[in-house]
Amino acid sequence: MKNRIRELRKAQKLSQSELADIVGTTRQTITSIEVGKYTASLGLAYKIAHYFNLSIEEVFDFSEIENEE
Amino acid sequence: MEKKLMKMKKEIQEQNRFYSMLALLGLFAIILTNSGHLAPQYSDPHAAEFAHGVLIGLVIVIEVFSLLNIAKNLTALKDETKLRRLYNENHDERTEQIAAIAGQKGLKFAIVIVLIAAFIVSYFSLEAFIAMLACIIIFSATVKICRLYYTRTYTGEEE
Repeated sequence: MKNRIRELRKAQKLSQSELADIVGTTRQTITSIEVGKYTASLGLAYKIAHYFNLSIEEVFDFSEIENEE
Repeated sequence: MEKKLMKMKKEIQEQNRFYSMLALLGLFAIILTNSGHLAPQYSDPHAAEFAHGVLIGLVIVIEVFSLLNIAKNLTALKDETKLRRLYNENHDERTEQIAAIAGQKGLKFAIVIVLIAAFIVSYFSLEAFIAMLACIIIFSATVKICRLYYTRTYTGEEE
């Protein structure tokens, strides 16, 4: 699933490790989410969006799921 | 946040207790093996020495593994950043999903391999054949019991 995490993270000069520590996951999971290889759970997606003060829809691109319908 | 930190510390301390028990059991096994009270019932003394050597090596690996993990956990208990990182590594959702899938498929594959090996071994040794059959039954029963247990208890939420 495409997302804006890398862009948002770099705007705040945050490393993947630092973001991982903040949201309670590992650097490897953040990397996988950023490149679209892994789809975060609802809880993790919420924590990431909440950290950037955005809604989940503003961070993650749901157009693929919408197109499937 | 404090509550979560206490939860992390408690979990790491429980892990340390487990590894300490493992290390103690390993020591006990080495002492028992070298005491001569439990001599392996082998007719061939070379086979007995080989089995003895393999057991000692296995116990040493378990000891080293336990002590390294205890050291890692003790370091984490002194540093909050390391503690959080260790806790996150142990509870990462992606890692848990990968472990679950790999474990499930790995176990099924292992059962098939042992089944094939049991078939081949049955032509040479009755004891080995029965031991392998016992392994297959234990593996299969464990998978079934775990599946039943987690079907009833799993909520998808972090413990």
